[in-house]
Amino acid sequence: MTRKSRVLAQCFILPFILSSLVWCSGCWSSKEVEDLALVTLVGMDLRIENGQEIWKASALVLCPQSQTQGEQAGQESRERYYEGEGPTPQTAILAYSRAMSRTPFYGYISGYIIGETVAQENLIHFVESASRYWQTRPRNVYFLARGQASEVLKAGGSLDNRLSIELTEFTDHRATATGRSIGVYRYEFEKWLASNDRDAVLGVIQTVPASEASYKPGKDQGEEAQGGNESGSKQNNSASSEESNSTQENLVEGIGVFRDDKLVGYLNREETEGCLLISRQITKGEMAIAVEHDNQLFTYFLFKSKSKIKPLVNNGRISYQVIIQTAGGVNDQPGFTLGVKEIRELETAVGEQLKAKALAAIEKAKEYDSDFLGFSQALHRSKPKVWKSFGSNWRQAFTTADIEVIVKAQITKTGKLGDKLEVKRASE
Amino acid sequence: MLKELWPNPKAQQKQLILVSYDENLKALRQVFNLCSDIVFHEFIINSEHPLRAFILYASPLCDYQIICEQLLKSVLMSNGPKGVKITKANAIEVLKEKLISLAEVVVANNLKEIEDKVLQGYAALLIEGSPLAIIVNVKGGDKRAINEPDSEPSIRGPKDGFVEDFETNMTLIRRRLKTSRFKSIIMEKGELTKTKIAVCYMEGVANPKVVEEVKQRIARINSDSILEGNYIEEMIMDEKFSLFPLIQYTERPDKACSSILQGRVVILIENSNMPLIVPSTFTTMLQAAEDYYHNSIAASAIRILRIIALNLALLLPAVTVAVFSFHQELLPPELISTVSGARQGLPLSIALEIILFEFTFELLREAGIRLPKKIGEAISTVGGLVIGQAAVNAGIVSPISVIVVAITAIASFSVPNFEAGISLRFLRFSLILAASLLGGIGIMFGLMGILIHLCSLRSFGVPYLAPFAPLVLRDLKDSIIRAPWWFLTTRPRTNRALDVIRQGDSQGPRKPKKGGGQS
Repeated sequence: MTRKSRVLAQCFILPFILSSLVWCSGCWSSKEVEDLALVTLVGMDLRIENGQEIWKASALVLCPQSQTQGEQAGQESRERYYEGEGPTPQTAILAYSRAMSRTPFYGYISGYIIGETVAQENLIHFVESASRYWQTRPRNVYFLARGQASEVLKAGGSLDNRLSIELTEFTDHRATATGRSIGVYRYEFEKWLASNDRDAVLGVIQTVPASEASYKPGKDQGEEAQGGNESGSKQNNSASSEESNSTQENLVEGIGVFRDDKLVGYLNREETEGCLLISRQITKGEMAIAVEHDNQLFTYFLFKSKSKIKPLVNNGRISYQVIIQTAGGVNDQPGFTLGVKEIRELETAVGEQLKAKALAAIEKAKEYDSDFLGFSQALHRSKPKVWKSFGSNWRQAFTTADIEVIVKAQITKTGKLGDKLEVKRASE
Repeated sequence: MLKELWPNPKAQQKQLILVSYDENLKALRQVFNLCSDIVFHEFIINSEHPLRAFILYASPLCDYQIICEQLLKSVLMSNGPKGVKITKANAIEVLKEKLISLAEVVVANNLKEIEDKVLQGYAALLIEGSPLAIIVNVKGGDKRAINEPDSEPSIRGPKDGFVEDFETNMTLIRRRLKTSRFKSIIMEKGELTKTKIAVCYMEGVANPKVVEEVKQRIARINSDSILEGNYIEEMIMDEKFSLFPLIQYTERPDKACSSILQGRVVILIENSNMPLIVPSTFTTMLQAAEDYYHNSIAASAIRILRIIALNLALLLPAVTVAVFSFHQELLPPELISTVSGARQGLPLSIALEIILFEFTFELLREAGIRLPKKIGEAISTVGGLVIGQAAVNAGIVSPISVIVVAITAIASFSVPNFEAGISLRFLRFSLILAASLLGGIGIMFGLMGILIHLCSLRSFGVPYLAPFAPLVLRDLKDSIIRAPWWFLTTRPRTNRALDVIRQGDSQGPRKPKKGGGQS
């Protein structure tokens, strides 16, 4: 290259590259924060009218925190509800976007609530639209609304008034630990939907009347659609939306089961716990299980658990062995001190209870013909040739197999600090 | 132009002192015509045949007490040494060798030398009938006392600072370097200012090639005046234009001596209290003399803090602009919600807000420097607070801009080198503009440009980014961190020092052996 051409290159090419950068991605793509509507949660519902799909998109938008509100600002809900309808998910989203005075911004979206009808009729249409959008993040959470997703969004959050934060926190820390439901991230859900050896599940959220939101032992939400709940699951409604009903609260409990891309059913409390014991590793657990021993009820606090699915092939017949190991604590009953013998007996009793839960989940999975517990996945990994022999009927490897559950429950803490407290009791 | 200012120095040099007293007086009066500060003092020397004589000196540069008590008194009050008669022929010799009791007495034979010496604070004594003159050092006059350096204060460490007086500055260095290996080569530059420049280095430590390069670059200077260090700094730099200071300067004698001991060259300049230090690297910008006086862990932590501050001062406003205008998803939603609420109805974009506020702050800072010290402090502090608060209350700028500019300002003050601080200001504005146009990509382009520029810089042949680029592992012990003194056994290799060993090995503290034995 001659000196002249080098100078020409320096004079023209570099400014050209720099100017093209400015023209292509310059300040035109800048947007001021005060012009953005920060969408935090999106819900999607579907109904069929005259044979035509009508999609209903709903969104919660973070309201700018006004400085003049001072301390009271934190007391009020800071998410505003919007909704729109259209023949496709995109048109429905555009419909609510038009109602906003600012440009919707999805960089802060924490998750999506999928309506029951969407999950049953046309899940892929919405999930694919969401996953292809550039501001969607892998750690966005997915929940399944039992009923209408828009109702869940309208009801809003409770403790810190932001449903988006509550759902993210619940997925990150509490869903599995409490044994109430399952937290599913976007990447996980899409992976299951695309997988050819496992089915998908989602945590279930629904709105319930506040009057019924009291602790009712034995009453199961999974069995009664709008049933009673533990007090810890309360989610107060929002004050921001005019449409919000003050008597409605959000509740996260249970698991929705998919077969391929269709919702096929739900798991009740017992089955949910069993599902979590088999498919998830529990750490920092907060599950409490009542165990009876010598006509006395003890509480087993499950701290942690891990499981392993072992596929076995004997003479061409497939069977599975599920080994669940748990560790937990049992606080002594008043007036009763646990010895080594009692602890061993209690461990057996706990193991039986946990085994019952796991078997219930397995039974449900077989009933739905949905392998959401990962049995086929385990077979695929350890014996790929056997798994391949099933071809597209891979679920048969699970539904027709014998499954043995072995639970090794340990009691690592008894809460014993010293001798029992001798409290005088009223004579009968 | 230069020749017109000073017609023909060589021709003047040849103008010898005449035997005629009147001719010499007349010629010198003509040279110093209209120079009100030059004193001609005529008198008679006691001898067998009284001799006319005069002394000539520049009153502001001389010490009257020396002139009166040690020069005039010995010449006027004495009848001469015993057995020696003062005559026209031997007057110069007798006075020089037997009467004048001053340390520096030389003889000159031409008027140019007399003129030069007189303007340096010497007194010239001419005697009737003699073609020679006695030049006596009577330097004195007012000079600033040695004070604590204003630009580089320290909590621990010596409190003396360089002053404008050349000899005093040399003294401050010599007091610390009591070795004949410490050399100072004095050169004179500036046809009209006759500024003395001393190239100081440690023989056997400093690389002779670097010393020679320094001498050559200074020798090349052909200027009428050198009034401050920067007059020669810009002439001897490796690059014609650079935002970064390629030559370090200091007001602290201890720092100058430390540099000499590291194999670097210090250039002392007459009438400047800021000697130059070459070669200089990027890391020296972030080092303070005090780093070597504190515990090494504390000193290292402070150096890391300075690097963080440097990055804040350079990048915080630009990153704020980029994040709030282009990459909002990087911020927590609570913050964006608060900022969004605070920015409702504001007329300017966040980029303009920050640029305007930075500009205002620069104005305040400049005004603070120019005003008298106490008023300046009040202006810069109160001005910043009042204007910031007023601008927020008036709905002109958002609080986030004020906070960002304030943090940037605080961070920029923690960079020890003032010149580097000025560079940072320019680069900061450039990066804010780049960020407002292209967001994060603009900042990346800006930083890459800065890095490329830094990689291309040299200071007297030493790469500016040394010891990081090129990587000199052994010099890293005194770069971002400051290793303990017992570990600093070698001098920095980046300075191309000849003798790299500074001290012996294994001098670290040791615990006494158990049982009372010696360690």
